[in-house]
Amino acid sequence: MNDKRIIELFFARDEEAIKETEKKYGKLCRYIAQNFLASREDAEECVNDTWLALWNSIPPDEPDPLSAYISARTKNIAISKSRANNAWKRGGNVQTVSDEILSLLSDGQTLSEYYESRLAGKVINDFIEKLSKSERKVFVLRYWYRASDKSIMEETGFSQSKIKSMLARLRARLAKELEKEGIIV
Amino acid sequence: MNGNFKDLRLIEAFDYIDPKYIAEVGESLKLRSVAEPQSATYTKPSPFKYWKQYAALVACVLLLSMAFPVFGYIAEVINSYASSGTTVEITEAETEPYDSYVLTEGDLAQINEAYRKEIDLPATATYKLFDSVESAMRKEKYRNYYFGKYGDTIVLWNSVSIDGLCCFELGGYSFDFYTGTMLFFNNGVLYKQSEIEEADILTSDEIDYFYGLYVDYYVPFAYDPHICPEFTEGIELLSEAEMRNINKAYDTWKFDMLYPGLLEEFKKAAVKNTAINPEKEAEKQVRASIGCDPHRFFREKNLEEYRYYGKFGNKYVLFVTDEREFLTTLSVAGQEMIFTTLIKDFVVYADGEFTGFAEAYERGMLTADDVALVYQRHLAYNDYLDDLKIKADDSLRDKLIIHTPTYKPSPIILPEDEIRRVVWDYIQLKEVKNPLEASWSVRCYAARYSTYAVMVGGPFMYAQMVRTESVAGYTFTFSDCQVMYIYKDGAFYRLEEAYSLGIVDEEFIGSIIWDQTKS
Repeated sequence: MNDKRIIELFFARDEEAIKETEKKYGKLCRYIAQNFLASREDAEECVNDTWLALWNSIPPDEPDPLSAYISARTKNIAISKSRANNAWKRGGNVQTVSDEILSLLSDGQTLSEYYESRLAGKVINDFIEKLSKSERKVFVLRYWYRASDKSIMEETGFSQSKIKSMLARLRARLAKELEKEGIIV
Repeated sequence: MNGNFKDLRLIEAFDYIDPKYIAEVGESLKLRSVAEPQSATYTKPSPFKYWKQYAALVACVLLLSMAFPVFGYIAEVINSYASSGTTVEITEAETEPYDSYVLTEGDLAQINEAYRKEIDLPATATYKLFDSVESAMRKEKYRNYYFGKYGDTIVLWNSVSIDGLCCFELGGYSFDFYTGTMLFFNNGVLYKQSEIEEADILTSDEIDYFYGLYVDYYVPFAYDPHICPEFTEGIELLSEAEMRNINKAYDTWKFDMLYPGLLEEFKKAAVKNTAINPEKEAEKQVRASIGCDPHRFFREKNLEEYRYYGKFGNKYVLFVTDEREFLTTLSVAGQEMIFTTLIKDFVVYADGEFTGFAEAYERGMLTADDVALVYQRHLAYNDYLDDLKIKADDSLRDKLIIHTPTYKPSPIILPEDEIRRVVWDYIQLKEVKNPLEASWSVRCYAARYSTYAVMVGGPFMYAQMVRTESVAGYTFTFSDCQVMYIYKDGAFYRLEEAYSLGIVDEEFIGSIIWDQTKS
């Protein structure tokens, strides 16, 4: 079923909407949830919470693209759960990705006094725009979806060493862009 | 404002990634590894069932949005979806396994023809870069690596067509092959590594995939001194012409070494009778003695490796590790025995001639400084190997390079799985540190059920002296490198030991196909 029809079902308050969303985006939501939550039960609960959140937000929301909207919802719920469960402290992939992001700041560097997340986000989006399709996939999987090396390997067919070297190069390039724009000083 | 707070905000910045990229990536995922819900039946969620969780969630988001700006952003993002009218075009991600394309005989004929033209062989020459589709598609050390077909471009690496050091940059990646030639065949044209960047026939996604294969397949097997920076420093790369000259001279030298004086004899005869072609006559004579064309035999094995240690004036220092086994003959007590040998030595090439390393120094071809530099490079290479030691785990077993000898000294050909099992157990027995460095073979001389009389080939095949072994009244003559084992249930026994332990009987010993005498 296409996204437009699913949204129509939500607007009609037809519970089939949830069923169809689960059918189309269930795997994606579980994938995102599993990247943030160590427990399979927690991930499953997160996915169910996402359906509830969608039921309550559509309408009035009429998202386009629906997949990004659902992904953002799932991710936010997963983050809330992982914080509530102290999953951050247990290490794992989310911590690894955070450390990688923080590695953009080399010794002695800091964020600008006038730093704004939104402005930094714009620089990151401009950077992503310039990437090749495969680089973009690896970058977004890692830094938005918080995917592990193994998961990126399965999705792209690249070797682990290639993924690691590609990410390292991309981070170095991004750090330069952020420096150029005065985000990192 | 402390450092940690700033750091957290940097992490938040990544949540501002544009939804169009999130959708693009999200919809391209295959999601094979995603765990399905434990219950096979779907339970329709009732909005009322989760009211407690919902209330908790709302409270949680509200609280967190006060603590972390990102949660404030979440609401904005969600609202932006509602107000946005733009449609994002979702395209399929590239996931083709480029190396799943199977070469055809037609592809191969075209590649061979293009290569023949490339190396400027006459049209009548029958030289083939790749003998068969199977050989062209191998992914094995020292042989061929097939890197797939990308659009119209077939990518292959061939170890035999030596082109100095095969190091090149492509699409921002560094490829370092130890000798060989990287070939990019596109619409009848063969591009070499030095031409590929300029040819611009591969997209960045294709290069990414190609690099992935290189990392997965080549690098783990590449005990390549030229990847070692201490080794490569100051080494002058060889041109294709130089390598071709060395190859040609090396072939003649090997022939002369295996059959000393034979070529010289015919050369002398050719002075008197110009109708005589010394090379052909020498070959004929060897063929008569060993039952096959020696040059064809050399070419078919194609396992030649040079380790190039540098150029000193017009002198080239090479470490010849010829892992292929040469057939040669030995006359013992009137019995002519055919056996195999292996060459491994430092040699110096200059002006069409090969000289031993020590001899080259004594003759003043190399200075003490040259020798010291070679020695230094050799140490660096050994250190490099030490760093690359592989633990003998089971995954290694499948990576062993196995070749099945089909020539006379292996009268019984075992199935490849069985050969692999024997080699694997042999590696454990001998505690071989770098088993992937060698090309292994098992020659079987007697078999009964799962008991075999075998010789396992590898890096130990020097033939220097002759010895005999007497078992159950049979006397066998071996060279010192030729150790025959009885292999049973994963264990190796010397002939005498196996007989005395009752693992094999007299009949089995008598059935061993080897020169033997019965007392």
